[in-house]
Formats: sequence, C-alpha cells, structure tokens
Amino acid sequence: MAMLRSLGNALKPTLERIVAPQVALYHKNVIDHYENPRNVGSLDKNDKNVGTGLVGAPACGDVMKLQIMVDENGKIIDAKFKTFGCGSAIASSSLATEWVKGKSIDEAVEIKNTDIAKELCLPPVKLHCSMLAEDAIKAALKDYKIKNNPEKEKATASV
Amino acid sequence: MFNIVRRFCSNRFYSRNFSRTGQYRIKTERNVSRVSKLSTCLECCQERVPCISTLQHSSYRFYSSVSQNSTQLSENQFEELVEDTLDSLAVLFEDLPERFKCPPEYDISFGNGVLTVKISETWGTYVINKQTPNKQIWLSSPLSGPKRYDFIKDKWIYKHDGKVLHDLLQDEISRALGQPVDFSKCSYSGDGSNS
Repeated sequence: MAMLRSLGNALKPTLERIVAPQVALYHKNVIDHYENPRNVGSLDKNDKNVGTGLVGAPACGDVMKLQIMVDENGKIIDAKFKTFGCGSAIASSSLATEWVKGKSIDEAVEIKNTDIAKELCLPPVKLHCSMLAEDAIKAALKDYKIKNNPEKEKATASV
Repeated sequence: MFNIVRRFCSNRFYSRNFSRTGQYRIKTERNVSRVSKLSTCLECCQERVPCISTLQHSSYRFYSSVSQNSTQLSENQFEELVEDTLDSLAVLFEDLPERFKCPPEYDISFGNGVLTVKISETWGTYVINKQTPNKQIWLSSPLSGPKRYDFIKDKWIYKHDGKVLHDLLQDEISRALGQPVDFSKCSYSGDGSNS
C-alpha cells in the first residue's frame, strides 16, 4: 500500500501536467477592459457632431461600432462603442474610446494599432483586433469630417 | 536516421521523411485529390525542389483559367489555393534551419490553416492564417503589424499598399536572419511561372 502511495505521489506531477488543460491566458489589461468595458453604448448617429465608424465583417465574427462626439473646437468630448467579437476586439475598442476622449480630431487620427496592441500586450495572432480598432477610429473621424464638410463629401463621392 | 516531421493540416494528415541523402517521401492520407497530386509528383522527381515546383505548376494550371480575384473564388477553390500557398510557405520555413543559421529558439508550427513562425524572442513571431469567410490570408508581423491579403491575379496582395505577401516576407525574413532568403519559389508568390 505504501509502495502504491509513493508511486502515486511520484506520478502526480506528471499526471497533473498531462491533465492540466493548455490555456492561453489574456493579459490582465485585456481582462480588465473585457470585464469592465468603458464607454459602451450609442450616440445619435444623425447628430451633426457625431461621427460613426462601423468596421469588420459579421462573417468573420468581429464587428466594431465606434462613435465620437466632437465639439465646435474640434475636440472629441465623448466616445461610445459596441463590439461583437473576441475579448481582444472588445478590449481594443474599449481602450480606443478611452484614448480618443479629450483628444482633438487631428490627434485621434494618430492613434496606431501598435500602441493599442502594446498597451493590451496582445499576442501576434490578435494584432488584427487592434487594427480593427484603429480602422474604427479612422472611419468615425472620416464620417464626422464628411458630415461637416459637404464639399469634401462631394469630392470623395466623385472620386 | 530519419527526421520525421508530422503535421496536422486542415483536412488531412501527412508525414514527411527526410533522409540524409536528401531524398524524401511524402505520405498522404484521407485527401484523395492531394494524394494523386503528390503521387504524380513522387514519380517524376526525387529531389525536393523540383517536387515543389511540380506542385506549383499543377495548381497553377488548374486555377489560372478559373480564377482571378478572391471575391470570385468558390469556397473549394479558395481552400485549395490557401492550402497550396500555406503548404509551400511551411515547407520553406521548415527548411530554413537546414540552409541558414537560425536563432536557437526558431520554431514553426502549422495546422488548421494557421502557420506560426517564431523567429526569436527578440524579433518575435509571425502568424499567417487563412480567413475563409472573406477569402483572405491574414498576416501578423512583429515588424510591420497586421495585414489582410486578397487573391488577385495569382498573387496575394494587400489592397492598401498593393504589395505582395511573399515580397514582404522575403524582405523581413531576410532582415531577421541577416541572410537573403528567397520566397519566389513558393506557390502564388507572384514571381516566376505562376505570376
């Protein structure tokens, strides 16, 4: 019996290694944004001061809507997002709304996917999620600019 | 004496046996079309390089008449194309340590349409994967970030800058290893016979 027990003890670490599931863990920053997402919600997309960016493809499983509200000085005073996707995509868009708030529209366009990926410590395969967040910011800014500059809108439409 | 590399791929399993003399055999199971393609390959060549090029030519002949853009591809066509592209990339990355001096941490894994190449801790990891819903190949580079490639005119092209997947890999992997690595022999590299 004692021999069996000692054998069992000797095997325990090996068994635990085999039985323990292999899990890829999200970084704590991702989990923080995932569990307490900032700025979830919607703004009135018909408002002249609101820019809406909708990026991603439902077929891929990631859709991101990011909206910004800009005051008369060109400063982003509010931002909201709704994301359907993986934890990294949700965290990326949550972080993006946090970062654009308080920035001018020229500053916001400078936010890069690499900054988001670095902040969230995203693994290589999840860099695409941070790219989606960057695209969402750009799309929202573009929408706002088009809304507030009808001539430019015509120019882009004719191109 | 045999270095056996086994890999699970999307819908098949095959093992490669490399011998010291450079001769090699490929065994495939399950996928019938694949088996026939490879068995004709084995009949006509003993060396590794001609075998890969035969694979390239056969797939080129099959698709050049059918497809031009990824949006026009059927799902089966896309699967075959991606499989060829990723397979030939995997073979190249797998052979790199034999031809060049690679960092000790250099490691590749390939399965389910995802090719992961770890160059080193400092340089980082490349991930190349198929994205079936929008018929793209996605690349994640530690140097230049993420990109999405569409199949246009027998090449994988990133629409934002018009660059070819294999050109970017050639540039970055050559820099990573400090030695020129040639990607032009890979399937759908945009160079040579199938461009």
